Amino acid sequence: MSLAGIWVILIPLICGLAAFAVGGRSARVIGLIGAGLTFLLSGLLVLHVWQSGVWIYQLGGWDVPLGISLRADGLSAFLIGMTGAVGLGISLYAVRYFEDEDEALTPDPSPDPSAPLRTGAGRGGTEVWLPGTSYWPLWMLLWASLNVLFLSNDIFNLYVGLELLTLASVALIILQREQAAIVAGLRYLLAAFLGSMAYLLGVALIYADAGVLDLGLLADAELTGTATQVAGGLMAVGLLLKAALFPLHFWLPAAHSSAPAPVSAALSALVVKGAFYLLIRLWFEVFESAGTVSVEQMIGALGAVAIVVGSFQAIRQARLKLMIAYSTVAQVGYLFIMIPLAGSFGDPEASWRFEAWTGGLYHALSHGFAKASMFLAAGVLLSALGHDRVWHLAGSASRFPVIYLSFGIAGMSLMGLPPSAGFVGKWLMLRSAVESGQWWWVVILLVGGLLTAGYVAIVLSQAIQHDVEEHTEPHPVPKLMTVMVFALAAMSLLLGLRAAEPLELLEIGAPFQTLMSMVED
Amino acid sequence: MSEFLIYALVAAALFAICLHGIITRRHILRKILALNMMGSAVFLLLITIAERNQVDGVADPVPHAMVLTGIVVAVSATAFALALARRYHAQTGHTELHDEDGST
Amino acid sequence: MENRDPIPDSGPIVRVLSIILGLALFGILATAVLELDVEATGLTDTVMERIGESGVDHPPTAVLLNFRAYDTWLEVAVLLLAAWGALVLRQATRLPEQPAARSPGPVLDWLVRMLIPLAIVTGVYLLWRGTDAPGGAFQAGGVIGAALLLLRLSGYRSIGLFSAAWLRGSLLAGFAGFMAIATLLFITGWTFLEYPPAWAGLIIVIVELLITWSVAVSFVALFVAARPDDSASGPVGGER
Repeated sequence: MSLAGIWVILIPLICGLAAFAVGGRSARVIGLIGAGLTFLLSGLLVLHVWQSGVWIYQLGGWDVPLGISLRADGLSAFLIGMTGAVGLGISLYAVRYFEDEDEALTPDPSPDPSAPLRTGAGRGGTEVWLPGTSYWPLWMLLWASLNVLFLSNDIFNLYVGLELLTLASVALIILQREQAAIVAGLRYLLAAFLGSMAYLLGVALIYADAGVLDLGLLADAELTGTATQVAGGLMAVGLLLKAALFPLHFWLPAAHSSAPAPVSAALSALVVKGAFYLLIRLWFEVFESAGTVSVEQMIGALGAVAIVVGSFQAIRQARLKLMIAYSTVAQVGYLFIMIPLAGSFGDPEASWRFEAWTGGLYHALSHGFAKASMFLAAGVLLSALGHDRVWHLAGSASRFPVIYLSFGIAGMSLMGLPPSAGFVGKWLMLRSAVESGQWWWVVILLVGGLLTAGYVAIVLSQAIQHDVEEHTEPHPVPKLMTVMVFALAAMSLLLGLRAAEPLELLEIGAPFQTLMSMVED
Repeated sequence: MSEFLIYALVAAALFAICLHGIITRRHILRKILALNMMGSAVFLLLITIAERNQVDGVADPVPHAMVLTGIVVAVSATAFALALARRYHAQTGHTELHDEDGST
Repeated sequence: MENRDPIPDSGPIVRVLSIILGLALFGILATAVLELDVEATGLTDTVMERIGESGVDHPPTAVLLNFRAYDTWLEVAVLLLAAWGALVLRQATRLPEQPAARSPGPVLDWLVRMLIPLAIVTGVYLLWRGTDAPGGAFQAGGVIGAALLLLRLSGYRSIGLFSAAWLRGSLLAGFAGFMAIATLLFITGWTFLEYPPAWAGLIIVIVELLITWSVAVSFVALFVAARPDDSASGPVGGER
């Protein structure tokens, strides 16, 4: 079990490559096996960290600083666990989603003028290009690269991991080659490329200053010089660009909304968290001694603007997927309110820092499940009705009761209403804001909840309207897709009812004085 | 001024110039080129660091390895971006990024 | 199709702001650089102490393929993803033949016949030299990839001959081969990405060979697949 950390990277890679090598329809089967195994291994890793504490592994048997080490503490395990659960949900949904898509593409055997290009005349017959065939290997690689990111303990290796994540994401966005998706993918790639370059320059400066790349050694070195501060700034800006914090969010709405539904869900629920994770890891461990209150307040302020602007934009959107994408812009803002709250404001030993940190991460968790559910719900409506225009959803609640119920539950979690997981996260952040006397964040957290209620209400009130002109009969949607939408929404609720264990998990190896350690003192 | 500082300052200047290029040039190809050169600026800094860290005539191999890895990563991202840009051009005839609201 | 050339760049306000931003960035970077120590040793000593155990003599190769093999392994995956992304963009499982079927002409023909073997020999030499001097899989892959491209551009059949399975196999070889070796050793009780000292040299050569081939094919695939669909318009060779 202590090697779950290696397998959680290897298994999705092996299955991804196998799915790529085999191609055709078996890719789906291999992908599904990969998803199931990765989910189980993620669970094993969480269990291992839970029972035996922080896991450290020297790759190749070379000690740091010569080699690269992997490390799983509570935070890594928490996010790997989230990725595992959300990833499994998305995978099960995708089985039926792409099955539908692929069937729509294959039926006519009539010779197409472009046939020689699209279909390689392999020895055994023709091989047709299908989105589903490419989806599975790319999705497995995306999942693996998230796990690489959460486990790596080396700042340069993290750069490679970030690039892996970006390329996998872009390849998935353009899966259906629609024009909107190509522009969105290109813009995303360029933005992420710029972010990577800023990050890499930061890595170079840190190496020039400290002579090591290992996160643990860097944290011990307690760097404070100008070079470290500049490096921290560059890496932070690069990662904020990848995490899409206002005003660096310009690429997100189009990229997240133009992808196929299972891809949108993975991008909004998981990929954004990758950059966010790395930022808080660096911020509170490596740059702890170099950070300043004013910078932290500024990042928080950007988060606040993101909440307001993102929510208003979401309310204005006419298309459901774009609305959900703008909602991600707003929700990312919440995550960054954690920085000033858990930062160096006031007393560095204070308990509110840990509270804010866990609150922010719990919010990330609830957003992961809720947002995945919302995008998948939008995917169901899109494939059933053939459109996702918010103002034409009128009356569709009677035909898709479970979808809208799930949408409502997920929306509740985003608003932070009890007893959802979003409530736990928001409550911890509110408490931290009050205890530390930073009342201005209380205001923004509460206003954000109201604005979220605004766009969720628009969708739901449209859906339950009675006076509808009769639409054409909706395209039937496989039951499994609806079930997964509901399961993910339900998780965002259940995690609010049982928050003790996940919160305790976060204490393992946390960079703060935790509640436990304070009791022991 | 030491050799190390000269090269490091050139790298810093190159990085800043490339940022200017990315912001002001609207042609996608130029944006991609600027990004690629930004990578070169970082690689120049890394090579400079490797040279500074030498012991008995052996330069620090870790930044060298980072450059080699970085080049492959940058080449991959650049090539993929070019492929996307050509596809976009073939679909729309545009050589700059456009979308409905006309922002770049 | 409006304003196809020349594209107007940003207006004067953006330019001025961007220049200010650039100067500020340079100032900040310069401050950081000026504060760095002019003398340091980084990890040079650490690497040189252990290089005897790595199986190769050239320090960067030892770092790339042994001490920090994890980076290199993932970097091959990045290249694979890029090539793969380009295939997704084409929605193709294999690559088209060069559309022009014209004869290369005697001069080009002669040149190609001379250059291709030379490129292959150079590639192999670079690969072999990589163990004790600059060189290695990526340089070798680049040269061999260029040879494949030369063949293609001068009208010979090259990468279009690859069946879908061959193309995929070639793209995968480096990453999957590296992974297979590491996984097998891992299952038999070694640390992940650790090589048995006696076999380290051989394993590195095998891995480099596979990566060379994948790099060569990936580069060509990226070049070819990046071309927008020529299927829609002109006549295309396809499989002849």
